[in-house]
Amino acid sequence: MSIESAKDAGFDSFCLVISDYFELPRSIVTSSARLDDDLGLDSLAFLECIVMLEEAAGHELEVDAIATVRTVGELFDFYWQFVGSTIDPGTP
Amino acid sequence: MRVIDLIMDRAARLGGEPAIITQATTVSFRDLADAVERTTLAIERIVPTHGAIVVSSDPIDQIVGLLGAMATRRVLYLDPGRIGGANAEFGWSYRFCDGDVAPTGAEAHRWLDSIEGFALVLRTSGTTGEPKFVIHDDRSLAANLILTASVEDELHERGGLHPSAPTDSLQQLADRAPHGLRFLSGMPLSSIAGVSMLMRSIAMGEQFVVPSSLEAHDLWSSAIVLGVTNAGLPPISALRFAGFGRDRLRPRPGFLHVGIGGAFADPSLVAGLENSLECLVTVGYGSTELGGVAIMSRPWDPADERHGTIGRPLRGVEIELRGIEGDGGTELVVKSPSIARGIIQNDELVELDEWFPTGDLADQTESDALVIAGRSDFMILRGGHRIDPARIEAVIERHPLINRAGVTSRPSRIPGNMDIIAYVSLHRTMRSTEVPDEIVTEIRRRCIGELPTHEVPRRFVTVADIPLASDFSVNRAHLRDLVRRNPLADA
Repeated sequence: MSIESAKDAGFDSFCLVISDYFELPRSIVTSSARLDDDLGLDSLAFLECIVMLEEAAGHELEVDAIATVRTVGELFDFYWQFVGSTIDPGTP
Repeated sequence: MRVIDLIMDRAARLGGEPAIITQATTVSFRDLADAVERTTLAIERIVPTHGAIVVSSDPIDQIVGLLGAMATRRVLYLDPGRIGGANAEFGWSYRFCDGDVAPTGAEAHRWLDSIEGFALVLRTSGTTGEPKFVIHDDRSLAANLILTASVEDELHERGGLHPSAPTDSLQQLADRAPHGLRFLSGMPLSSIAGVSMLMRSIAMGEQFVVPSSLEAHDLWSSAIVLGVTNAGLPPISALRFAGFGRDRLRPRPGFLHVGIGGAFADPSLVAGLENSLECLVTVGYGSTELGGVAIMSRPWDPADERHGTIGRPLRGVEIELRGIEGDGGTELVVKSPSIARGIIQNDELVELDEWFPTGDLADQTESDALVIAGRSDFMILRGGHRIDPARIEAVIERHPLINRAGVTSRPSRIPGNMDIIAYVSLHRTMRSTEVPDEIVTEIRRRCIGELPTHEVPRRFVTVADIPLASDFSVNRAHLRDLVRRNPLADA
């Protein structure tokens, strides 16, 4: 599997996890969806998101770097950058 | 002079003029007075001084039974039709049904011994969900009538009416000519709002319309067919009326004034109703314990005040905003001359304090108008914010397919915070009780668009019916129990 296709599959799993965890329809969890204005996630939900991703990654993430994240796609890129394709997001 | 004397005086003066109007019949003031006199004789013949009468849920029975109990100084309970066989449990020893009085076989309870004269017993659960019986009497009903009538005095800058001088004020009211108004209550006659509007109508020589049911469609059609000029509506009916009114092809009532009360009224709802019905809309605030409305916006107040506040205390009502520990906001505490005589607790009549803590958080604007910020006992804490569930419900209920919404919370995975859970029910006209995913998505978008992000519910749960209190507001205690029994809301 190429890196691109692994990333695509990883993104699909990632969206599924976000959708399940925050009880959102899968159809609205898209790359361009804004975490606040489209999904209605507030700062607390975002914090929960980070905790969930840290649990999935098995180590702490750099919270300062995540502060600029606005969309699902950006959040996934951030996550992918730290965990790469070797880790399946799994379920929390 | 008592309120019943004022009503009978009206009846003698107005004779054949309509007093009570239903879709099936019109009861004139003379007919009403005759029915009250017959009922008075029956009650005096059968019911002892301390007898407690329960009245069926039939509206004409309720009106005649209420006036008969006032005239004979007996204790009366207006049965909202919910407690069925509980007459024995609560000591209602006589029944008034189809114009006849008969024993129920139950024994009168001890609390009745402490009541001399007329008492009206109202059952309420309010937002706390704890059922209780609230006792009103001649004094509190007279004070409520004077409070509501004094608004007209304010308009004309007259100083005559004041609840501190009830006999004189009632005499003044007796001398005032009626305006030919027709009142409709969207609240049941077994509620203080319904009783208050009934008294306001017939004691002032106006007409009281009994709708075919309290469903919004029936209220709307009754208002058109029976020529209603003034209506008092709970917010949920007001919301439906705003929707009906936006349909320009639909016939509409010729309202002069609509008052909204009984629960939180969203400012956009008040403005929307005013626009769609093209009549004045005001908001009233009160409770069963306070004997009806105690605070209200006035018809002549600026639009932003009428839409965004509950107005100011009526003449003779005082308020305080008392701080709650730990920056919990300020609670509205009200001193009203129409406060109930007491409540029944453990078979005893317990008097209420002069200053009544409402349990509602409130703030005051620069012009001294009051803004309700939610219930102190049901606020949702999230991200350092105190969130009023009623505001979220108001946004969800604006979706045309949603019948009712009830918002509550469950502990968040972030300690010290709560996640917001919205229970929703579809209109009965929908064939399914299950809310389709696309509708949930629409509601979520609506919430995202109209609410701060921290107020957007985490989860939407479909239920067939939202648990309601007797005044049609959300029964928050019941809703909270639903979540306690099932912390994941539906998992």
